[in-house]
Amino acid sequence: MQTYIHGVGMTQFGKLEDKTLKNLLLDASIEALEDAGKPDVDAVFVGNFMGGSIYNQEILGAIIANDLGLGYVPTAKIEGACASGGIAFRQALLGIMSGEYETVLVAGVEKMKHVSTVEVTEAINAAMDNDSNEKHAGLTFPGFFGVLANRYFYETGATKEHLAHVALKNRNNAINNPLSQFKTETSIEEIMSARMITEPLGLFDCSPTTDGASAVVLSKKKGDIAVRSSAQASGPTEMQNAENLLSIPAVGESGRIAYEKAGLGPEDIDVVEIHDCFSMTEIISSEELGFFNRGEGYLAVEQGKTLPNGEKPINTSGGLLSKGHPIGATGISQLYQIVHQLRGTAPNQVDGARIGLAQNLGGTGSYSTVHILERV
Amino acid sequence: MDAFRCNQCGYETLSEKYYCPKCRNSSFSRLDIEGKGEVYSFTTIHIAPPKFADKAPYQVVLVQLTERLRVTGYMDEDIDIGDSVSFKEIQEGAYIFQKSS
Repeated sequence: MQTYIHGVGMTQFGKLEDKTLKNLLLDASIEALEDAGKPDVDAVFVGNFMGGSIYNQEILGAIIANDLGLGYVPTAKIEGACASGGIAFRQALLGIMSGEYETVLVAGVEKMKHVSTVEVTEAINAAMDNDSNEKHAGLTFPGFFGVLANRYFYETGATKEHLAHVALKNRNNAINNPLSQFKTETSIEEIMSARMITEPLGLFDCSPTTDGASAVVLSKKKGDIAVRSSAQASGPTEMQNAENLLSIPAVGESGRIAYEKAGLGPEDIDVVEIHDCFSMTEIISSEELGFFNRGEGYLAVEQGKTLPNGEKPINTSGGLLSKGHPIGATGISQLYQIVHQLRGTAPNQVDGARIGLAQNLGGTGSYSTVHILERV
Repeated sequence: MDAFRCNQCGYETLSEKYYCPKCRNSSFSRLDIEGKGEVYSFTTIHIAPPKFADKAPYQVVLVQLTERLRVTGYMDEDIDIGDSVSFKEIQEGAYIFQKSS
């Protein structure tokens, strides 16, 4: 059964002190519903990670149904760390494919800027295994990708400057995106000399904390953006369980299944949103999704292949690094950007984009979703 | 150090699993590891979780202990990939490593 995206919505990303979690959720949802022509909605799925732990707010699905006056429709919140949004979208899709629903609203949201860095770090660390010796060794999320980056450098000859080129590209893309968190120009020099978070990753190599929401309306009624395939995979929840440290199997596996279901390959994709929680992650996942050979993703960056006018444009939205990363909203906001690319209305528009791919990651490779969309 | 080895395919893991992720066998043997190995990779953490803030900067290392087993540990010495390290002790749930003399 074919499903279609009928509408998308997204709030400003950044520090939004005047907006509550509910305000953000409703703003994005209303924009998506209006974009879709105000359809009847049969169910609501919400992607959210820490509404409970740092905002003391749950029942997000029921709040949307009540405040938007959707009636007695079923709703659920989906948690999958930073992949909460992508998984919520997939659950909506499966609900439609099962025949249970015709049209579903999916929204993703996070409020992160109202608490201290210490509190938000503690809450994010809930996405690590509490019982694992790794957490007790003081490993952090950036730490995992720092360990990965050092090994990647050792094996490939890549350097910190290659990571800086990812950060710079995504910043330049974000400058053209009115909804992005960071719009200040930067330079390779500034990125390279920024304060160290976890070696070799500096401030610009790490995604920020962000407030924001995004939403999509998905339906089996014919529309102009088709969901060609949806895939999800799990991977090691601990770094020491990785068979190959320079691989994120959940990304590779979700990509492989998505291509297979769509009958497409990496060469068919015109525009890509990759989960660049760290600059290193974008490079590894660009290899994992088959856009470049293993160990050569950094060369593609160096050669400008991932720029908006390059052969495989990645993160034309600005990515998590510069558009911002409101955890539960991220996966849906990637779809927002891809839909606009396929409609021809995106910031950093790729000429003639017809097929787009969005990949959303949770934990240190614990969850990954891949969705392939096509303008029809 | 204790670890587990799959009785069918030889997969090694620090924490016991129900199924072997490689071959789906579910019988494992306990393995006693000497605790000497090489740094496979590492990072120096400058921005640490609250509990570790007073220790920063410190090293988190991924140590290759056997051909099939890597373990994540904590160190407070400058190190590099390929350096020889040895297991010292378990402290508050963390495996502490030190440079081999």
